[in-house]
Amino acid sequence: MAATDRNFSGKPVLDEGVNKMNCAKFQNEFDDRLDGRLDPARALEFDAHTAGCPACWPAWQAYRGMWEVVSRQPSVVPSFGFAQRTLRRLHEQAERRFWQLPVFRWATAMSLLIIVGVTGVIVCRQAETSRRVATYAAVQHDRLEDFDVIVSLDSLGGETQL
Amino acid sequence: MTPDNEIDVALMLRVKAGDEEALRELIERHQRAVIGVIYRAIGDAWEAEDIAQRVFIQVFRSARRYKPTAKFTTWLYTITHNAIRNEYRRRSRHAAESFEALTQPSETGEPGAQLADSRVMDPSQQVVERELQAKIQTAIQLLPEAQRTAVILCRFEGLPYEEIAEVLDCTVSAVKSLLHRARETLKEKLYGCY
Repeated sequence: MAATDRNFSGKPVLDEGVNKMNCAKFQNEFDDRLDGRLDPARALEFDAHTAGCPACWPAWQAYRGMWEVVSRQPSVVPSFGFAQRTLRRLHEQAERRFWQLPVFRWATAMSLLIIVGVTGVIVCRQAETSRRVATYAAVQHDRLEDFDVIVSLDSLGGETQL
Repeated sequence: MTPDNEIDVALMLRVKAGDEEALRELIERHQRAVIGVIYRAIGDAWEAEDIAQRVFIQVFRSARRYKPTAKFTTWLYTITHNAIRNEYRRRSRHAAESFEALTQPSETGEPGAQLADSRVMDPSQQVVERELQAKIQTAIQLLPEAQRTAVILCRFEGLPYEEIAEVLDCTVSAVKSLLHRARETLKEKLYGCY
């Protein structure tokens, strides 16, 4: 390691500046290492560094630990007959869609229009008939009144002049 | 093309021709993955099955437009991602469903699909484990949409960055950045659990 020196006890001492740069580089590769995106040589280098680096080791352990914990979320097993139920639902929806086709919508609208139209015509005709009956009744009533006057004049022996 | 993808594409071409038996086979091949992704995103097994059904119905309806240029699972996960996004939008529109309902996994267990946890533990361990799982689920659900999908597809489905990028319609470097930000958030949220 170029950036190391040896102290009196013989332990390697890392050059602070170079080591920080190295650490930043390795810490940027945490995701790639987790997802297996480092080539084998770089992965070995990564493992060697993190195992011996007091700054990177705890950071890497925390990162890896979190990712392992996430995988403890349980999975689910589809309930029995899932595929069958899905196909049934597909058929039901297809049937519903058939009745919602534009042809059927138009047919419904046209039927409603025809019903409203026919009802309107019937109501109008009934109103006209009622009006005619009322007019006829009024005319008849007037005639009857006139007849009563004539009869009463005749009974008095006078001349009838209408 | 992988053999699995070849089978999927062959089935999909049959579905395109209106073959429902092929659709049933496709559902059986992918139901677990689709329900799993949805469950992890929304935290409700019943809803996950309901949405998964809609996903497969959508697959059937979109079959006519399907072109075997991309991997079938990428296409399937794209539909799944859109369905999850729609579900989140629907829930945010309905005030009746509180935010807690969206983010808190139920503690009474799931009556629909069964949790696939075969570990045997004593009751106190089970409680601790369940609490941890709830915490993980909440942390994942609270991630922004794209980060959440990236985490689920990467961690649980093992999809490569390139495929996740296709599902999310972004670049590979964007996926890398999404995953990094998601991991930083999860590290913070799950502090003390690892």
